[in-house]
Amino acid sequence: MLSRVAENLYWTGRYVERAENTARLVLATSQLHMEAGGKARLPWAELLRIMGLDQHAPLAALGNEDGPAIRYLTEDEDNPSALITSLRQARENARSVREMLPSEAWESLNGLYLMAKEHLREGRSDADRNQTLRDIILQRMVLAGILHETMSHDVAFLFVRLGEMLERIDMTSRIIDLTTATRQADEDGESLGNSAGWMNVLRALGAYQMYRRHVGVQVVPQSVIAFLFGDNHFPRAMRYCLNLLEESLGQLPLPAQTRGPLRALAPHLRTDDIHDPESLHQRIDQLQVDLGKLHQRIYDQYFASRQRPIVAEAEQPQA
Amino acid sequence: MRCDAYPVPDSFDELIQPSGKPRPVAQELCARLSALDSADLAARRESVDAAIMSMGITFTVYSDAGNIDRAWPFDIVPRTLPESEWKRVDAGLKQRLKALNLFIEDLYNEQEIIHDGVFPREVLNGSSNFREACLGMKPRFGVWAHICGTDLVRDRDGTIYVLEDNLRVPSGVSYMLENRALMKRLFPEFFAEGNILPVDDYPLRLYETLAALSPRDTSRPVIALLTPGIYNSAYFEHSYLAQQIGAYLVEGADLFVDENDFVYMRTVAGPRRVDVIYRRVDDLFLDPEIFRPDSMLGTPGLMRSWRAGKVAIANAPGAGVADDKVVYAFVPKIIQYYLNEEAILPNVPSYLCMFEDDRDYVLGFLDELVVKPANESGGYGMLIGPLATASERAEFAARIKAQPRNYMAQPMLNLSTAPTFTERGLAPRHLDLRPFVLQGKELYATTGGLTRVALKEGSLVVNSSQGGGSKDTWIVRDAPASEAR
Repeated sequence: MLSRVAENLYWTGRYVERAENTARLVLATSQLHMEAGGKARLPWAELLRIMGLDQHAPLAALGNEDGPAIRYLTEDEDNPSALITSLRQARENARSVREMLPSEAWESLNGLYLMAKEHLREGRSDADRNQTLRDIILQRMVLAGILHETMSHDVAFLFVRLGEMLERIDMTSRIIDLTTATRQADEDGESLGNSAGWMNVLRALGAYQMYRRHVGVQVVPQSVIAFLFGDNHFPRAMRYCLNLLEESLGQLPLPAQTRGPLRALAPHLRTDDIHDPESLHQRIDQLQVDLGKLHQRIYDQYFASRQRPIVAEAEQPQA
Repeated sequence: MRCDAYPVPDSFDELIQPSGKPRPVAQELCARLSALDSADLAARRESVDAAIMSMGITFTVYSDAGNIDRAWPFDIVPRTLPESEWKRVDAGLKQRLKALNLFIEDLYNEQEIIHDGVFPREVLNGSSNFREACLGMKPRFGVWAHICGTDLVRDRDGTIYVLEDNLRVPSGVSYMLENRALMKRLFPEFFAEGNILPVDDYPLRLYETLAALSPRDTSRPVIALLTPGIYNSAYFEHSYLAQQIGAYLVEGADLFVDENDFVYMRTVAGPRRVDVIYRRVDDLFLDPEIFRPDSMLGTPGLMRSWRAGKVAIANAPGAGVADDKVVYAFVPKIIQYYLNEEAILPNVPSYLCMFEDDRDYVLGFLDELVVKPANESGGYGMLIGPLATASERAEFAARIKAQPRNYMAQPMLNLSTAPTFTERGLAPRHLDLRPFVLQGKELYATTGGLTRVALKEGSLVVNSSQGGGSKDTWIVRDAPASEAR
């Protein structure tokens, strides 16, 4: 596998996953909005901070209205993390490696981008937009199915999956962090938030049903956090993603090189010491810092080799 | 859609006879098209467009800033040719490429054709595609141009001429394959009778041609398709072909040449040796050590490795010397010289401005001729005399006088037409045909090729970069003698 191709596959996975989770995040936020009776303004500044966009977003221009902020997160092509930008990036990355992917996968991703581009634009009603976001999530599932079921689970597949899992941990943690934002919208400042807020997070992640079946009917903040951080079986739980990351990296050449940063992540998924919003928020921050380190190690190990000077490369022992 | 309402043109029409009746080769097609009502047809056209978008069949136009791809303009009415006629064309294509490869090998080695006075040295001296770095090379099988795209046109009297030999990095074969895939997807019933010859063996033949070049004796040589990258107009094709033949799609920076002259790819598991490079990068960008030092598209040391016989390159560097519109005029003589055969497919009569008599004729009849620069492709830099303004002709006359070696002229052909779907129903549009010919251990030509069509009424320019589209090309099995009544 060419280093360049591996990198493009990895970013295809990351951007597709980011697009899906952005759709989930926006859906969850607008859900909260409705539950607040539409009166309470959503804390967009917080949401943008969670998305890591507080440095970039023209917050003043967005005002405190919902519409402009939602459009910024979904359809604004100048926003490097907007849903449409993520899909475009995923498509561009996949286009440059399309000979590595099943042709249906490319067709599906291309169709997903074109569909999003057509439907995510100004002037649509909230209902239309939410339907489009749900369609995007569904079409992304079709793409995931095509990859999983019609592509050999070879090195190319592993790089897509690495990108997906790394991004999913990152985005799941951001969606959980949304509770910090909603707590501030609420009156109660000490607790981990109300059960309605957490139920909403579970719904956003498609996790509500599985939580009820495997944890309980009561939506208890600590239990939800334990489930989304530490469950080994639910595919959007961070522990599940970390297990897959470990398994995937173990199948690539020179797995020892990534073992250190991988192991540094595991302790962050223990949640028995999380009792208040502050400790939750801190935990998520640490997790994201260490995820960044793992990304950097993957980059250095597998992608950066093409940047090395030719002489140095030629002198390396063959691997 | 009625074939009988078709305005029969003044040109040779591939499907319809002057009487308005379909040619025998197109009878079944016309019957099937006529059976479709306009609503049905509109629905099928819509699904063609949707399929093109979702299959991502695109091409790139350089001037489209910010918009890197456009959907491939595809016309749903196929172009037909009878198998009996195609057999002769097929033989002519193979004959031509065989002779051209002997010619290239000769030019880079003994130059007997020049010593024998058949080919003028001054033409070679004026060739911008002759590469001194290739002198003395003897690639395997004596083949330099492994992949050739030959442009054919048919004039009013029905004669099929060779218009150009594209021996550098000819493109379009993926569209030939995708056009057929589109037609099968949208009109599966057309293919039910089995009278339309298949085209889909090309990828396998291409693989065999390339694999046979491997300097390393292995059953699974590593083949890399070298692309200039995603912004190249033919990137779709590069990616498509790499996928079809199981080649690595590489860019120059993915490769490096070590001190022992072996070529490697940079992979996630370290360097991996490359045996064959199917390059879609022009000569001058291949290797900054030898050619343009500022090229970012190539790989330093590639020529070293090729000359040392440690990697095969297809088409070989320097093969473009025979892809020159002045050299073109000599091809019938080249065939005669090397094969001792008459050319099966004729050339379009050509006037070489480097010769005084020809030049005087060209300058005198600029308003009737098509003037082409020797080394351009894609239809750029041409003068179509009858359609040009007086000042354009004067400008060209000056250019010809300044650089006579650089120009040749041909009479304006009335390219053949075929019914093409337009907003006002079926109308004739001009077209050409680009078959692809392979030579390695064996010779092979595609069954048909890529039909390009000028979508603008009356236009003769079929290039996709200038408003051209394409059609599926059907070589139709001849009816068995017993059925001919």
